[in-house]
Amino acid sequence: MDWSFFADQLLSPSDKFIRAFFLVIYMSLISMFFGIILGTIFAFLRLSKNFFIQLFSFLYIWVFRSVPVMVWFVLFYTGFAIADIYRFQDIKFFDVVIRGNVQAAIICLSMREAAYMAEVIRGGILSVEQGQFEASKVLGMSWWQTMYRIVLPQSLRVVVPPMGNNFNIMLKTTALASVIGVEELFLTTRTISAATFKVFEMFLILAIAYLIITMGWSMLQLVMEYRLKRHEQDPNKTIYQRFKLNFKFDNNTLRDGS
Amino acid sequence: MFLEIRNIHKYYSQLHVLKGISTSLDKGDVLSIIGPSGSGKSTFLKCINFLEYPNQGSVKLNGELIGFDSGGKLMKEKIICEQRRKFGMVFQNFNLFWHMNLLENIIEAPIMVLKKSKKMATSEAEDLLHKVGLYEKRNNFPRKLSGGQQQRAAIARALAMKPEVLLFDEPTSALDPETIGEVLKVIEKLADEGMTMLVVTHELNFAKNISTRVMMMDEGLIVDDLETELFFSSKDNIRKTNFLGQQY
Repeated sequence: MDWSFFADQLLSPSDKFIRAFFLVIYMSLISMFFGIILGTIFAFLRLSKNFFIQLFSFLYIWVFRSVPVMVWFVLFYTGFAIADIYRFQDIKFFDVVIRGNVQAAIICLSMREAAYMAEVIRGGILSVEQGQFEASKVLGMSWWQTMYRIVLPQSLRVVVPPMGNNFNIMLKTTALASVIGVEELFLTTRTISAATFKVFEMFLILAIAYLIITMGWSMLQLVMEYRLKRHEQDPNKTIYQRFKLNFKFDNNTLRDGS
Repeated sequence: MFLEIRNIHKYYSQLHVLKGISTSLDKGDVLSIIGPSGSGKSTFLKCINFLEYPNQGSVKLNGELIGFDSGGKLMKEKIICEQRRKFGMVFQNFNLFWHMNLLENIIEAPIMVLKKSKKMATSEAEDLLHKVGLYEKRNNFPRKLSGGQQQRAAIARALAMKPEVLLFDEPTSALDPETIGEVLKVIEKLADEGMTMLVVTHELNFAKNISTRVMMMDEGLIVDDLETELFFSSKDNIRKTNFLGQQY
């Protein structure tokens, strides 16, 4: 174990490594964004009264949950190019160049995420009491207004915890994009370790890098879930008091849930 | 007649829930509907504002046909949605939007549906909150309030849409005996102000006090539909006297 190399790489990582670090974050964020939007659409299709629309959504979810995302990567990027269906080109977005394989990876990740999110969001919608629909109807709200203002906000309480879980998984699934040459953390680490023969040190750093990313996300999720508990909070308490109440992990808080 | 309901029939697949219910109300009338559980009281209420579509029958408010056109055909969803606003409804389980505080609950529909400005909706909502005695609680969330307070807020929410008729679906059944009074007081106040109301209730004393008429239903049929005093004094209907006898 070469501690000085380890410390050096950990405290001042190479540009390549830093670029890969942020690539993982932005690939995940974009994929999650599209995944949630598509997932919401598929959740509604799945709840449609029309049998064929329901079937379509069901088949989509089935296909994209069944085939490993690694297979989709190769199929979309390499397969499509060889079969002359579509060749992903690098595109320039203002000053940033988005590589073709990154685009393919984002598309595959989004589509897979949509399938998982569709089920999560469907569960969320089903968790909303029937009475809330009735109340909105009686007040004359349209279907859209009911969904946008009442049902989706209420379903968040059920949707956010598994969504956070999915995002955490997504952050690490990006490593699989190395099979189509996306220079994310895993491939970059492999390249560096192959050049320097410091496999153990480099992969230890890689593990720490993933820990940092997911830790950042976990904190963000805590804040989000805290915000969602707005309806349970006493408006007369200070923010600090409320925060303390929410993050006490003893048995009492678990029991009465406040 | 202000509100005319004719021959409402409702089936749930094979089950014949409402077997031809007719009644009519003048403006400012209060009709209490009593009867055993499962007699179709709630379904009848929901058929009036087309929350459930009746299979047959007609509802006429202020001379305007609701839900079905003159040929007995169901109107477009959008028209029914607009007509439904004329009927405010208060539920047994309150059904307040729990992710919004009381004020937000009340201004939601006026802003989204009636397209009122937030300022205007808020000032109207504050008046309503004063009326039901919840102004101090306007920033609280429903789940932090007692059942009685929630139900009063639900009444305020229904009133914010300026309905012509108010439908109460067992407004006090989910409340503990101590808080029932405060909700009934609000309903009584509305009756005094001349609101047209249909109230499904198990509170016979309350029905006696506020209603102009009382209707009893059983197994989807009207057992009796009379002026309040006459309803409680006449003894000719055995089914009714049995029911009332059990209650007292």
